[in-house]
Amino acid sequence: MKIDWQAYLDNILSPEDEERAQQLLKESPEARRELDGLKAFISEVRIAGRSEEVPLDRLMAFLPAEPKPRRSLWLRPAMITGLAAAAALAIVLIFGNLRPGLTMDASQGYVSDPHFASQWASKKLAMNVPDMALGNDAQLTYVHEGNGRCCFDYEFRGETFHMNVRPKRQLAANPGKPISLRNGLRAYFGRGVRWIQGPYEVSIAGGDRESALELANRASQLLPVKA
Amino acid sequence: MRDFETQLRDELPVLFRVAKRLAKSADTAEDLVGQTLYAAIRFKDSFDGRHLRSWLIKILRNEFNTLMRREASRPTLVLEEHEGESESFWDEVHWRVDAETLLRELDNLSEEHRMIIQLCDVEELSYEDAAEALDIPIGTVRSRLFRARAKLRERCAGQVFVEGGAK
Repeated sequence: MKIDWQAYLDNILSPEDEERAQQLLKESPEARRELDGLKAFISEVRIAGRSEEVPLDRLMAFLPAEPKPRRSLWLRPAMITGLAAAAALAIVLIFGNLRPGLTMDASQGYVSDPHFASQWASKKLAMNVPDMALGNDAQLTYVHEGNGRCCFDYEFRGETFHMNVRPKRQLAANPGKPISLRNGLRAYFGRGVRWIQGPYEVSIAGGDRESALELANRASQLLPVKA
Repeated sequence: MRDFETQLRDELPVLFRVAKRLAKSADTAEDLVGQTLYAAIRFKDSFDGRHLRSWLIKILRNEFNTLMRREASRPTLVLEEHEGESESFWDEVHWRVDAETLLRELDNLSEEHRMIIQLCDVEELSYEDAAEALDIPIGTVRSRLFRARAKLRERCAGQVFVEGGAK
C-alpha cells in the first residue's frame, strides 16, 4: 500500500489513510525509513538554505534611518511643529523629484529618485554619496555603474548630461584647461568638466559646455569639500 | 504594533534568500531587495496588514520579472522537468549531502521548483502563504512541492540507494 508521506507530514490524510499510515509505521521498517528519509531531506534543505550569508548591513541601508529618540517632554510641542514643517518640506521635495511611473532598472541602476540613487551609488562605490539633486530643472533620469564609478544621467536644458562619480585618483597629466568653480575649487575643461573634491573624482559631460559647468557648480555645492 | 519599517527590517533575511534563489546571484539579489523595499514603502497603503511576508515576496517576484523582461534577449534554456516515478524514493536513510552541493543543485532546478522549495522548506511558509506569494492555488503548492523535492533529491543523490531492499 502506498502512503503519501508528504501528506502525512502535512496532517492532511483522510482518517482512514492516517490510520493505515500509523499501522504501517508500526509494522514496516521500510515505511519508517521512507518517512525518516523524507524528514531528513527536508531538514537538510532547510539547514542548507538558512546557512546562506545575508549582507544585513547593506540591506538595512535601503531602509529609512531610524528616528532619533525623544529628548525631553517639555520640548514636545516645539518638536511637533518642527516635524510638521519638515514633513511638509519632505513632501514637496519628494513629489518635486518623483515623476509618475517611476521605474527602476536593477540590471543597471535606479532612476528618478536622487535619494534612493545616492543610497544605491553609496553601496556600489563603498563610500557615502550625497543626494545629487541638481535642481528642479535638472531631472535625474538614470543611474548606472561600471568600471568603479557611478554615472548619474540628467536631462537639463533639453540635453542629457552624464555625471560620473568615483573615488578620487590622480588626474591625468593634462586634464584640460583649468577653471574655477563658484566655490573656488579648481576644475578642468577637457571632455566635459572634471575635478577632485574631498574623496571624490567627478566629471560632467554631454551637451554644451556652459550647461555642463552650471551642473558642475551645483554638484560641487552638494559634495563635501574635505576627504 | 510595530511600525512598518521595523517589520520590513525583520523580513530582510528572508527576502534576500528568496531573491538569491530567484536571481542566482547575490549582487542582483541585493538590488532586488532594495527595489522591493522601495516599492513596499511607496505602496504600503495597499498592504492589507495581514501577511507581510507573502506580500513582499509578491513584490519581489514582480521586480524580478521586470528585470527578466529587460534581459529578454538573453537566451534561456528551458529544461523539461521529467516527472519520474517516486516509488520508495525516500528510502535512503544514510543519505547526506553537503550544503554547497544541495544549494547548487537547488539552483539547477526550474524557477518554479526552486521557489517552492525555498518558500516551503527553507523559509517554512505555510501552504496558504506560499500560494499567496506565488499566486497559485494551494493544491498546486502541494503537488509542485512534491515534484520539486523529488527532483532535487534525484539530482543530489544521483541514484536511489535502498538499504536491504529491492528497487
